[in-house]
Amino acid sequence: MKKAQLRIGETIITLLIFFILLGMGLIFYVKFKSVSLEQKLQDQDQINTLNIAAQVKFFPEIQCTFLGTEISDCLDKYKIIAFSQLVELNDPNNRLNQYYSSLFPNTLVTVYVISSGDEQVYPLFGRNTTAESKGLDILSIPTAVYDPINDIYEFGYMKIEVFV
Amino acid sequence: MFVGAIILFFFVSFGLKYKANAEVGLALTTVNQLDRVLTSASVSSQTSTKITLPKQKLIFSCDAEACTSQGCSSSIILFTPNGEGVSRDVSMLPIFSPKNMKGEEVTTMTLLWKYPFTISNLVYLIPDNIRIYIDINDNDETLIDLNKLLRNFNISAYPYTSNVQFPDGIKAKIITKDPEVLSVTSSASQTLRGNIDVFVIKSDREISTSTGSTVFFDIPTLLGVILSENTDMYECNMKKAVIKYENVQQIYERRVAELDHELSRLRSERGRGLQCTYQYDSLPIQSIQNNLVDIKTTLDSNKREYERMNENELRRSCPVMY
Repeated sequence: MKKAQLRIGETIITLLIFFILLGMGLIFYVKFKSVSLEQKLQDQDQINTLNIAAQVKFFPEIQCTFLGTEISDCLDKYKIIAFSQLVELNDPNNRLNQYYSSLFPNTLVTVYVISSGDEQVYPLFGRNTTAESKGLDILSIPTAVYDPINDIYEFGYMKIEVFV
Repeated sequence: MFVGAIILFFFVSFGLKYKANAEVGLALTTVNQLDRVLTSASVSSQTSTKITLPKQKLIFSCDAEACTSQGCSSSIILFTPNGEGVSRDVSMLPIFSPKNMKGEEVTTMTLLWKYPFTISNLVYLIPDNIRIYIDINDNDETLIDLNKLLRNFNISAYPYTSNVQFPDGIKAKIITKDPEVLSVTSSASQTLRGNIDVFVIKSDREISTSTGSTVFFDIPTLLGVILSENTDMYECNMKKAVIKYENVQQIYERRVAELDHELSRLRSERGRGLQCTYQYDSLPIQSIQNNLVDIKTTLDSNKREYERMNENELRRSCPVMY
């Protein structure tokens, strides 16, 4: 009887140690997985921001064109003005804002034009809400801005803010 | 024994759960990769590249009945071996492709759609088993242009003759102006019949296919009809492009108004300046309510107006619309 009890006790202790080791292994695995997942998510967010930048830069809505031919690395000042006027930021019912905000969710795109020392700001689309966002990826891309009336190129940059 | 059974059950269920998660994870990675290929294809126009699709079943869906001002309900769905689907939304990107694909070598091609100004990139997925036959016997300009375009992208287009032999395992797409060619499908052998599509181009850019009639606007959209699964899929993807047209049109018309306003201000300020008029008479498009035939009529009328205005303003050395 005592021998049998001893054996049962041994088995219980063995199982207990086994489950403790298993639990520790699981905790370690979950921790390791969550860290690598977080890193993966961060990388994904950065790729996403770059993707958005590449797409916005090639938007025919703002790109310079002459007789239907695109001019690379150039934004048209009056297309930017028109876009900015038509898209009223923070108006959820605005058709254009709805379109571009669902194309690039949680993204705010603004074009800055430096003209004779002044900085003009043209918000293009997006919702300026940061309350529920955990972080922010910002990317600024310098670009030439063409003024078709004065036939001159000005310096500008496009700022892409992605709320994550 | 009881404890052993519990431990075994725990490991088996953990393994199964892990396998299922890994499959979904793999499908998600594949869909993300495909999404990236499509995104890069959509920003770099006039390009083509070859990709191999995943071994799992891939479905492209597009529902023209579910279009809003934010695009049409459309997605890429990749199924895991368990039958679980991982989807990616492509509601704004026009993609012309077969509906179902699986582990195929596919050429992705991107063309810019201009009507007359740049609207959007159109993405085409051309599986290697598709073979395009063009009937250029009657020297039709559209067919010759289509042939040239495909040749520029190294996509083989074969000349169609009445005694052409279709190899096994290919899906033949015959593009012609001659309705007589339709008899090919009925005279073909039973095994080939389902694999031959005949596209007959009629007057005013109307095209009839085995799945119905539709309209195309130019060569890139004609290629869209040919490479789409059916006319419904083509029209759904065209609607995505037309929704984008509405946005671009709105911005360009506002730009013209701004240019006109600024030039008038400068003229009155300096007492001289460019005499630009920016006169045009465009029509609004109801892309969601209207069918593609009505949309084409409106777009054609607007195209003529914008082209006329651009020419006039160019003659006056004024900034042009597009």
